[in-house]
Amino acid sequence: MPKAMLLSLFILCYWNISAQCNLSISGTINEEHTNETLDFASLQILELNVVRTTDSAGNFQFNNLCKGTYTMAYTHPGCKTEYQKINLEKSEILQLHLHHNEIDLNEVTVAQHKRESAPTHQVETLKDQALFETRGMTFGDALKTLSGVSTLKTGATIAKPVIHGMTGNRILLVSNGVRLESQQWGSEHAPEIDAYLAKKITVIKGASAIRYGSDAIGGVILIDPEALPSKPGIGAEFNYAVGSVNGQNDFSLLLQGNHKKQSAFSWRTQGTYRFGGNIHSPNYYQKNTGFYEGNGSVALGWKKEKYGLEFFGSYFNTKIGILSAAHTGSLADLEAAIHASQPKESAAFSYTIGRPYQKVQHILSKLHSYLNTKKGVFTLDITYQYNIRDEYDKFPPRNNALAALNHPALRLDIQTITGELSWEKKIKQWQNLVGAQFITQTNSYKYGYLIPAFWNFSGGVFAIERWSNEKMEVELGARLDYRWTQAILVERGKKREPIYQFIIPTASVGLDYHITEKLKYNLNLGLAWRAPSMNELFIAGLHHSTATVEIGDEQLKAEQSISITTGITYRNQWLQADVSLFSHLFKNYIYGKPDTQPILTIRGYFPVLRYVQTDAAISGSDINLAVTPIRQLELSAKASLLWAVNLKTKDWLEQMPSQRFNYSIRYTINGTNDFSNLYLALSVVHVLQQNLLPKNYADYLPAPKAYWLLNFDCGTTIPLKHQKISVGFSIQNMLNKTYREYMNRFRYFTDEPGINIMARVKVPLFYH
Amino acid sequence: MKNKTTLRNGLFVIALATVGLQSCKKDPPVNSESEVITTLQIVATDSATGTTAGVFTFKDLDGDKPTPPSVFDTIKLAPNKTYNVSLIVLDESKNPIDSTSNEIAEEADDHLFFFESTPAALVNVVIQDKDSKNLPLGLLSKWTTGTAGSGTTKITLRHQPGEKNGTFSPGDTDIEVTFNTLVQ
Repeated sequence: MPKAMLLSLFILCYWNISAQCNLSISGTINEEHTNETLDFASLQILELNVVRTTDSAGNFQFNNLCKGTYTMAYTHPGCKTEYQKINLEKSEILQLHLHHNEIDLNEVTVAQHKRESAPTHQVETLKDQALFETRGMTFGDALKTLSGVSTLKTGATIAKPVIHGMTGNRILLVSNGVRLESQQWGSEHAPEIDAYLAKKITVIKGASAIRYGSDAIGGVILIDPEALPSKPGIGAEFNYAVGSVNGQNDFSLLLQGNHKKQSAFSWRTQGTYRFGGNIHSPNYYQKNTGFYEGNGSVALGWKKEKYGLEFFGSYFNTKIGILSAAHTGSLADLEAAIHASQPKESAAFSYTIGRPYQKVQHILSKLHSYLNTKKGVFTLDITYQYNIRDEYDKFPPRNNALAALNHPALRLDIQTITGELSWEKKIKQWQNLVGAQFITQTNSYKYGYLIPAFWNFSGGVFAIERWSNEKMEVELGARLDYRWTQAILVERGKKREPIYQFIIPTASVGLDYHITEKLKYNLNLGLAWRAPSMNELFIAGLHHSTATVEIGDEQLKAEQSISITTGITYRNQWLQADVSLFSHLFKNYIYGKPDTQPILTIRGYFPVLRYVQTDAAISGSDINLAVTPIRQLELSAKASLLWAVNLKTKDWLEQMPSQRFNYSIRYTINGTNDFSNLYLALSVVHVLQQNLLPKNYADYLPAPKAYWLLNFDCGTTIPLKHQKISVGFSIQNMLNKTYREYMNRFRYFTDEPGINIMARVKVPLFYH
Repeated sequence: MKNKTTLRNGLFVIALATVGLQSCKKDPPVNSESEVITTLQIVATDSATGTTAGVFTFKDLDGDKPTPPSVFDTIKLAPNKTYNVSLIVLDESKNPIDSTSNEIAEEADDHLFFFESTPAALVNVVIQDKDSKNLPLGLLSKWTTGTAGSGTTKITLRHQPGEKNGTFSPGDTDIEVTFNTLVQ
């Protein structure tokens, strides 16, 4: 597929010109800042499809050219491709410049009116090669490659990111600057994110909600696409990934451009289609675990130095099959399913998605505008989101007329409008950011009931002040939100509309200090509140996969946390070390606690999970160490350690990820121009058994045993004409191990996936 | 000047949007299409006389939601007698009440009732009705009581679309009620 596309594009590009063809273009290429000459830089005249490579002195020459207008594309490993128009009347000698990529031009323009994630926080990013290596994984699994981040899963296809043991409403996902609003409270509700839209994913660990709104006690995940192009021309990127464990195929195509005459105008359109079938565990196929996902987005920008307007709209649509054996009607069914050596309902490989399944659609749109004046940069953002979640039960209704309608057993839809106004200006050493935010939300349900309809207004003001000199940076942030929520409950025909109001303060102080050039220290203190979410207040219903009745508590208070994160970073030629420690202290921490009193229903007795509050301390450490004994070899170790304590009972807190470690060895071969950055990597993921559990904790099965997995990765960049094609190949769970994971809600029913052979390719394409 | 206009326009848009959203608020959906089984009734007729010996009910109007059942009778039967029993399954959360037993009878090939008496000698149950494949169903059954005593009778409805083979294992449980039983 990619091959065929490339070919046809090249044919399209190809021009054959013949007439007085004795002119030449020659010259040298230098690095823009260091001015050193660049060898092995490649140049291409796009119209002619002729490629040259610079010699050791950075020289190049094209001969036998005809008169005409040409576009020269030139690049060097680690540099952004540059373009130059040449109107060739006589032979030309050119002096060309490239600059290495640490500072991307686009990002600089963005930074002028959008603050990068705070340096005083514990931040991890996934971009470039590291991001490419996660292509084909779920969004949650991709993030899991970062220390301190794990997942809460329902089967293999539904994965929610967990930061420092916290997930759901305690984590904010910010997609292209928009706070994602869906039914994020549900543990089997995966985030509605097209990972292929992201050019960079940033995880800010710990309470850092000031910029993005309250609630994010655990952390924030920023999913950022590339800034819209600012140089004339059309670019494209095609991604393809394939995985063997479920016959998965991912296609993603991005087209973007900047208008030649109206350089303020740029655009991007992008689409992704992914699908997979039944997942193979080492001993069987998991029945009904296929999925498909089809997404698209459009961005339009009119950007001038003084003002600009940007529109972004995206549509996300997925259908995910749920392992049929995980649907149980009674506690006795659950017991039978647990004690079965493999899922009761067996299957062969198939892409068919049957019942039960969920179908989720998410529309996100945003209008971003800025005004760059002497008094600072003013921005106004207005966003609209619409999320529809349809859940289909294992069996259609018995009533034939009802079954014929093919309605879901439950539909939840939520609409959100936000407005945000901010002002940013640098005055001497102070970077000031002040803003106000407004959110209104309506939630309703149809066909079945799980949480009540509600509507929600909140408004907040925030200020972030940042002071910096060469050695250190200090950040002070404060935010105050007011939230008004009204639930609409219908109980046995009677309507009740309780109102909740919360005043939510958030504050943080951060320090980032360069002790020496190589050694850096940072510290962040945060104070955050989180209002109880609708499900924690009102949920009342049976979860078929855990045969548990969840019950909310209308009297819950807001949860408060004080968090401390601190870390040191050391970097020299052969060692990179990042060690951070964190502690989040909670008052009124909300969690689901197993109740000793079961509930009697027509399907028998069910255990109960009640939302209660306690005081808690969640502490731990994230460690990243990398040693480079010789230039090509990197040995690295990562650890994510977590201890969660219920301070009231002086015991452990349940539902927390266990200690996990990752060791890897990576060999990179640089320098050859045909296969630059060829690398081979072997890694071991080691996850301990979760034995930090409360005494007498009622669970159907003990926490799964510790496991370790061997993964292999390799990849390279192939320069093909003027494009650089990235290819990657990986084998996950190389030894085809049978294991189960504590943080997977389907651990009662099935083993995790077996060996997965994956391949991926990224083809950038440029037009002029 | 310009900033103020932007601000004013922005606020106006937000206000407009709010009004727009408010209009959605008015009618929260009330009716639920989802099928709930709320009620199981055991109608026992004395096989010798043909008179109704008793109707024993389990009723939980919120189905598998948390509220406890509102009616949960004890089965009371006379010793050493034979009863013709028919089961009635209802969804009383709907108006009009939906007779789920009619649907079960229509889809007999997908359903199977199980009866379990503890101690086993308390009541002996034999299913009388069959589906199209000649496998038992259980809406109609014959109950024979032993000597006086007390115990429990567990009634389970298995929903086994496409998989019914006369055994318990396939499918899911739709009903599982354990009635206290008194033979006196």
